[in-house]
Amino acid sequence: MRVRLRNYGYYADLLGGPLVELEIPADTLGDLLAAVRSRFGVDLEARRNLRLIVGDRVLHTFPAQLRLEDGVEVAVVPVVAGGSGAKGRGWATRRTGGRVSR
Amino acid sequence: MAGVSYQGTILWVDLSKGTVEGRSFPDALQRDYLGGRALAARLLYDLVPPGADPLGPENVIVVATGPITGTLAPASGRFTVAAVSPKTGLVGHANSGGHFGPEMKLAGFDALVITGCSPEPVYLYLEDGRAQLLPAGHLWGQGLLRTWELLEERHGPDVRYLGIGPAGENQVLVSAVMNDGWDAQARPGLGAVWGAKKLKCIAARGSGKVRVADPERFLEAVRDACGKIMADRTYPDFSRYGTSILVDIAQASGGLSTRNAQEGVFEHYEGISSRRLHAGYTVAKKACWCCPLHCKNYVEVRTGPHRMRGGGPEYETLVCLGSRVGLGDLEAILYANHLCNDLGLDTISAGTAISFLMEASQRDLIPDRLPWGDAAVVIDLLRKMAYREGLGELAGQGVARLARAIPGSEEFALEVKGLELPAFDVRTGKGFGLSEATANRGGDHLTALPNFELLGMSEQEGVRWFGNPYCVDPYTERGKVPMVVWHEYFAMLCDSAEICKYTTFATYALLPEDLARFVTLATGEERTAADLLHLAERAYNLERLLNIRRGMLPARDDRLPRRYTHHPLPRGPARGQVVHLETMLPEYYRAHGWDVRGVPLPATLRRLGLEREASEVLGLGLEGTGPPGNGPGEGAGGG
Repeated sequence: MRVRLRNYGYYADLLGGPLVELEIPADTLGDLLAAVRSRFGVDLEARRNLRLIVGDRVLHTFPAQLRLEDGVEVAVVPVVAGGSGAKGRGWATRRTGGRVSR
Repeated sequence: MAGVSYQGTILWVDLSKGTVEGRSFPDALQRDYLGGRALAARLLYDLVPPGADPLGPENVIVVATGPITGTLAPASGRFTVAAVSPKTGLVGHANSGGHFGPEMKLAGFDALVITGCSPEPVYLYLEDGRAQLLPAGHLWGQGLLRTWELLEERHGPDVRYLGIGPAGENQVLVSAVMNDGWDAQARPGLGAVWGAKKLKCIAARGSGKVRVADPERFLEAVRDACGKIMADRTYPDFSRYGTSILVDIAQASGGLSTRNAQEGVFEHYEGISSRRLHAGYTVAKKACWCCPLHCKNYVEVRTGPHRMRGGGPEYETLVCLGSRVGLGDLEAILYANHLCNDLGLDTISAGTAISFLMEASQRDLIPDRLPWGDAAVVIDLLRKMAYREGLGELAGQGVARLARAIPGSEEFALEVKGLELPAFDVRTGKGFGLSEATANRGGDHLTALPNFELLGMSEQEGVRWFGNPYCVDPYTERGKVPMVVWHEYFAMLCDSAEICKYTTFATYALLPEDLARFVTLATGEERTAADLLHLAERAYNLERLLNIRRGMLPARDDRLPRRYTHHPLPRGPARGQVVHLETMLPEYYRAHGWDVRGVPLPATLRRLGLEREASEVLGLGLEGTGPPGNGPGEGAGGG
């Protein structure tokens, strides 16, 4: 089956241009990621600074068994919000307490 | 006790009398308002009479640094310029990076308070504790690029500057105050306030020092913070492309504002993408003071009608002078941006005024033919706005005034409280929609910048931070309120300590705890994250009280244009999306401790120590009923 990769930002350089068509042997995300690895030498699963958009669904993790439809467009998008393994803020349950120290 | 990292001096400038006077920076102000935007809110509240004309002598310009400005803390080159906005009539603050803020502090001043109006053009020169008002007749009328050259000829190549171009001189409401070549204190029309006061610019040179209370531990904190920033997953793209990477993300999510936000997907997107900018035109990367992110692009167009060399456009400019006006010619956009830097125009407001007129033309509401994507029209209108010529006369007053002048155009007027809405289409980020509807300075993304909802955080992270998984989904209104409110306070804290939001919000690499560590080690006064967020909440409420005192009715004015609430995006990943603001506002007001009309409740103002202001603005008579707060006399002092 065929999948169109729409690559944004740096990923257009890494993955052969802004729009690339790939032929993959089966219909899962795992197959697509393997095809990208094989053709471009890029392991998307190992990268921390991207998200995939499959149709209208944003993927934060990349489940190998996720089924893809023939002709689907998969966007490879750099992330805008990061966080160095940030701790929980607990904002919803803990308002800012205390007064300015004197 | 005065904080060690402050210089301890606020310079008071009376332009009407031509006098300058250094006064001590009161400890209470340092403690309760820190610096930057919070300090400016306090000073504006205390000094500007409620009915003052923003373009009259009673308005006050505040230029303020923060407690970590001029230290080695990463991205600490930020500073604030504020006044009552002639555009909105409300609080008007802006914030930029570069090097002027640190230089002003090294010259010996934490803040400047500028009152009155000069009869003749002047500029203010600051050097090592001394201040002079000098004639600026030879600078008046000059573009900013020439102005900077003339200042360097007179004061040397290491002088840093902040000033206005012809747009500000002509009191055009979409004007900005510019610094260090191409950094902009933009949005609320502050350039016009400078122009009305005949203040062309401020030049600063400083050979002083900014001391910190605990140098060894401060350096350790700097190393930790730089490590966090550079290890962050967003660092590779932001350091390489700068904010232009957001053009790609907006297109991917269906929110690339196109033809005055009639659409969210731009057919010529490739022409304005980050990759095109970087590969074709970026000749160097530039960094603000002590910033490891170095996100700025220095660009060059070598040949052709749009030949230029200078500071490159940020995301907002690529959209507002690009896809929003239907323009996919990157060289024309770079030239238009360069022109705005020289004329002193805010690219968001100026671009949006043009896109508004182009849609009015499309709909035959005006006789002028203004085709989408016509570079010559865009460039011509920018010049006419700056010099108040022809159609530029009205366009330069901004979208709200244009909409009042063109019957039938209110539906597509992209403004809130009189301020043009920024580049991001909030139908693809509902938290942004809430924050831009309610921001104290009008339609503004930086008041909260809730990037948390945009394609980065997992649902688990949403639960861990804000107690719900929905806040990371940009297309839903659910779960957004706690996330937005936290960002509003954190943004206020960043703008008051004076650190760049792109090392904090965009990456979440630095959090309030990190800022508390810097402030504590710099000033020598123990501050916790909770202390500082409380301080930020107080300043946020003070801004709102200032607005209410100046006539804002939150229930009427906290809104979005109908384009975002009633017109679904027609295609792309966000097809069908609108913002249901009414589903978020009641919870948002409750979370702030405000009533159903969006007015702060007595208990909230008492908790924040704003009893006097509650009495003055709302007639609540809370004074003497709560714990001691910042009362009269602890504030700005004279003036």
